Amino acid sequence: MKRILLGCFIGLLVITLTGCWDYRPLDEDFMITGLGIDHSLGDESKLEVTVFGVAYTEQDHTLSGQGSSISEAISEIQDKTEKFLSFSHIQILLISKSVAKKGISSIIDVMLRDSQVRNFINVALVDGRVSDFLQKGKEYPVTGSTFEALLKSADLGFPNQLLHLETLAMNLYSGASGFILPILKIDKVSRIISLKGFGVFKRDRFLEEIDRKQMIGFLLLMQRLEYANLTIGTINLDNPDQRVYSVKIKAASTHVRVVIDKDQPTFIYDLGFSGALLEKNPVPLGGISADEIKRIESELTEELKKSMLNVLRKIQKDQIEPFGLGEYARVYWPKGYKEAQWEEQFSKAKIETNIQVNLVFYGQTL
Amino acid sequence: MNRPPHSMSLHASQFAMMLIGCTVGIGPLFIARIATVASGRDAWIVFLIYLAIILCNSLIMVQLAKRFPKQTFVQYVPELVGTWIGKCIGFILIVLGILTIAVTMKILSYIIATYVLLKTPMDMFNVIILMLLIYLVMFDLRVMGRLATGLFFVSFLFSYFYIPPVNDYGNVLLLMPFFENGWQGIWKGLGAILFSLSGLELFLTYYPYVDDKRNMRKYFIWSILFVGLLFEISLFTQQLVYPLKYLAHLWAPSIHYISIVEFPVFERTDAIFTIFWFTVLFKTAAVYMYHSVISIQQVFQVHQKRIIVFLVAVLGFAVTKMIGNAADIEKWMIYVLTANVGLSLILPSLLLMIAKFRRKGLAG
Repeated sequence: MKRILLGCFIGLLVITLTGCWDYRPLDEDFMITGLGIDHSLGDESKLEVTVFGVAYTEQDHTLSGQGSSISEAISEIQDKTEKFLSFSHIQILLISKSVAKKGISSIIDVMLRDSQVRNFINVALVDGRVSDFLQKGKEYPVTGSTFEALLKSADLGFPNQLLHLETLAMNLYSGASGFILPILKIDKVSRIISLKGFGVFKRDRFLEEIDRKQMIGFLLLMQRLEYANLTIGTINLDNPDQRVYSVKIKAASTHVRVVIDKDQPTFIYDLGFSGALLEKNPVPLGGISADEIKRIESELTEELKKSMLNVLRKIQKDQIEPFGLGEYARVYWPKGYKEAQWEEQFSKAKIETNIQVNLVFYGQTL
Repeated sequence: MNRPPHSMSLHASQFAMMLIGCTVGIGPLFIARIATVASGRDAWIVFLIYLAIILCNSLIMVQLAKRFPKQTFVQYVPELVGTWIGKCIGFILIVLGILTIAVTMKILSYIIATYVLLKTPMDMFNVIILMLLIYLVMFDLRVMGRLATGLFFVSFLFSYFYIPPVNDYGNVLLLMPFFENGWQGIWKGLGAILFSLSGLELFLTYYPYVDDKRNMRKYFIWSILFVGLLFEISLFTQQLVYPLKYLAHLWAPSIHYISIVEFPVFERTDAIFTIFWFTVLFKTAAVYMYHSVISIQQVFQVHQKRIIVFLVAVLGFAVTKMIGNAADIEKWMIYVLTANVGLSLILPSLLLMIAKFRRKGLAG
């Protein structure tokens, strides 16, 4: 009997003492789903934090606060509502380009320190005022699901983790030279939010924008491209024989080799892709010949190579190395590799590509 | 010395389960960071060397224990080194046992309060854990053995998360080149990771309570290999995923790893992992508590178990109040667990030599 009583007592303790004593009803919570950080309008020394969220029995709404630090700005937001700000449902963190130009490491650090904020929230830059992106207009404000839909609009596949808070932290704390984040834009009239491009960072500072095509090259150099839709050629009404075709390529194999010649490394990318022909103009009424397939494959190869080298030239000029080639240099070029000078060494490094595209699906035209 | 009563006896397999639980204990949470900070990319090699040393030492421990099959460590130490020095060693073991209980409880409550139940005061967890521990230790040893076996099968189902698949970011280059810092790095690493296999020293306390001693060496070695493999895979995988500088930045890389890796089938793996870890740490605290109680009874010749159990619990709780933040927890953990392993590395060899020289024990 004593044991049963003791067991019941312990069971009761587990229920009553493990957090329920200070529980908060759901209708007292302001569940933040999107959080944005910008400079204060007219005062760049201050930060403006905007939160968008859901409060029980009320409509979705947006609140902003200002302060010298993120915590101070959040305190100001808390003063504006009787609801308790809950950060555990944040799906996206938006940062304005002007803030990102001055460095985002302090923002990432604050987010990681808060145990409520999940590590896998998405992070993106915005072109314009952050508060515009977190207002409910014709379009729903940017949240996790809308953000993923926006990324899909780029017809570009890469691991989701690349844009997670966690990956940013890993890049920043491990001293990575650079990384990328998507940039969103908003149409001032229709208030429709769309993907503008991608932002390249040097250390923790936003450096420059690249477009979708360059992003393909960037991801190839990072060995992170999963799939991409490519269109080659343009429609020329004066010339009906002008060829246009769209292809979906999928990464099949990626490998980087390092060849040392005269104490200088050459990085060789061996990339393999399988592809599917989505559209072709003029329509191949008599079927697609083997020669035609070979020609498409070779043009695709050239296109991918061009996009890689274009990005490479740009990045080498900026003296950043966001592709992780430093690890290869450290291992395979130990005599020459110097960690402190790697960005400079990389700017002069030779990079070659060996790309193979294999079109495996031509569609089901019968 | 008479053989312990039947209720105070264990099967070798039950003892192995107990040992596995309390050796896995705290170490894997932090080992990847501590080992890589000390010896860089060679950390996983360092652990293999450490495991080999521990295996050799375990054979010495078995030889020593075999000489005194019906006595615990604190009972035969005075016979070998004299009453006063023997009692001092016994006292040190008791203190270390209580400190280990406190550190284990503090880590457990800290992790739960940080990751799961954010608002609950840590003392609440400590009180609940202590009550459960008191309740458990009041029973005889066989109950503990059965519980350890049950928890082993429950908790190690979840070791799937503890040895997770490498995610997209795994990179073999992060492990290369091998022997990057040479033997100097290896030595430095060995010193740093000593703490990780704390718990094996309990073999010397529990040996006389094991029924089938003939299987004891086999089970002891297998339990060390099991734990060692778990540690090694955990260390290796995390080194494969995290860049060195980032590993140095993470307080508990294992917890971090669980939170970022996407596993097939299972969702909220962090919560499942917490349950797994709760059972492992609870088992660790329980085994050390039993060890402390037995040692106090034998060193001070006291037979009232109830009072000693409460005394150990109160002392353990008092020590948890002295341990502060995460950095403080780690400092205490490393000191206490390193002392545990240090004693188990030095004492058995010395005592075995003395026993052989003075012809004490069965083989003498």
